[in-house]
Amino acid sequence: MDELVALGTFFAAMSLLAVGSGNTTVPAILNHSTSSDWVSHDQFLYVYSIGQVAPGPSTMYVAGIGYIYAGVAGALVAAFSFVVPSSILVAVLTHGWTRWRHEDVKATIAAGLTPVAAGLLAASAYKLIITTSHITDTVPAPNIFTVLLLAVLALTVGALTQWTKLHPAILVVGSGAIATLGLSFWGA
Amino acid sequence: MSFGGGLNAYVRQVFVRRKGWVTDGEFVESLQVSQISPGPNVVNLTVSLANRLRGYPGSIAALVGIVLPAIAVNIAFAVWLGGSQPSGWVAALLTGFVAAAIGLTLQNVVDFVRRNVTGVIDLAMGIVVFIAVGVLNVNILVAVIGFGLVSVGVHFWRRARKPERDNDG
Repeated sequence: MDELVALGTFFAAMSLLAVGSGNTTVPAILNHSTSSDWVSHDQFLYVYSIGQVAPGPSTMYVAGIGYIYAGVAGALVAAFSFVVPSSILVAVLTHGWTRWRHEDVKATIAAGLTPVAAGLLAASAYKLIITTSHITDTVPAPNIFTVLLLAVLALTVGALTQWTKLHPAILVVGSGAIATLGLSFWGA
Repeated sequence: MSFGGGLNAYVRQVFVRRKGWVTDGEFVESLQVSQISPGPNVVNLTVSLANRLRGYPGSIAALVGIVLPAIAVNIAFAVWLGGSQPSGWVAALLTGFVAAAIGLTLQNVVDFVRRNVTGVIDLAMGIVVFIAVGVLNVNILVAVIGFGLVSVGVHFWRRARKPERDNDG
């Protein structure tokens, strides 16, 4: 029960702090979930990756964190705590916001929050990249090779997403296949 | 602010074009609310649109409908992952997934910055937030409220100095 309360209060707070996008909270969730021993660093990276290709909002990777820490109940508490507070705010604001006819003020608030969201998103990507140091030892290949392959795969997937219409799931599966071939046969 | 461009565009296609449930104006207002509110963007957008159509019960149905499939897939993966430390080809496969996820995240950052961050002041604010949270590990509560107030304040100050831009909307 204590586990569920801990998950619920933390993700409810994250729900209300996720400005501009759900993914702006990645640095905070990464720090808290690993320092509280809910998940290990490599587990965080794995569940985050699957969240990117699961149907619907990618932020539902928090269900994976909740499951590893406290089973199915933990997954449901983490996931719903992360979306219910913000959704209540949205449902209430939907009426008030529309009636409040100060378009310039609304646009100015949105414009002010944008650079904060951008900085947080960049921090998310940076945190994920430096956390990969926790998975280079899990594969048979030498670290330097693993790091190089990670970088090449990440940049290739980023470029293909930017310039083609390939589905993210295809890119993730393809990247997994290449990594399996490239990293698992060392020393075999 | 525009984020999650793909999914939001799809929601618009369904709600405005195909079904005609809401007008373009209502959609834009819901989009604004969903972007200014915290939380996952596409969740906010569907909750807001459902609220226009069917009130609070509609919002609840929309919320459950959009998150349940994602929760199920994420739980299924976590079950498969299990408690043990992956090794061998499983670890290699997962490392490939992580590389791809980082690629997708990087593309998100580039796309978000290109769409939304215009001007030197916004760029500087973004870099300050990045260093504070990414490198110096500043608490997110402090970062969001502190930098949020400063940034919104700067925008109001600039607006006050240029009253002719009020009508831009």
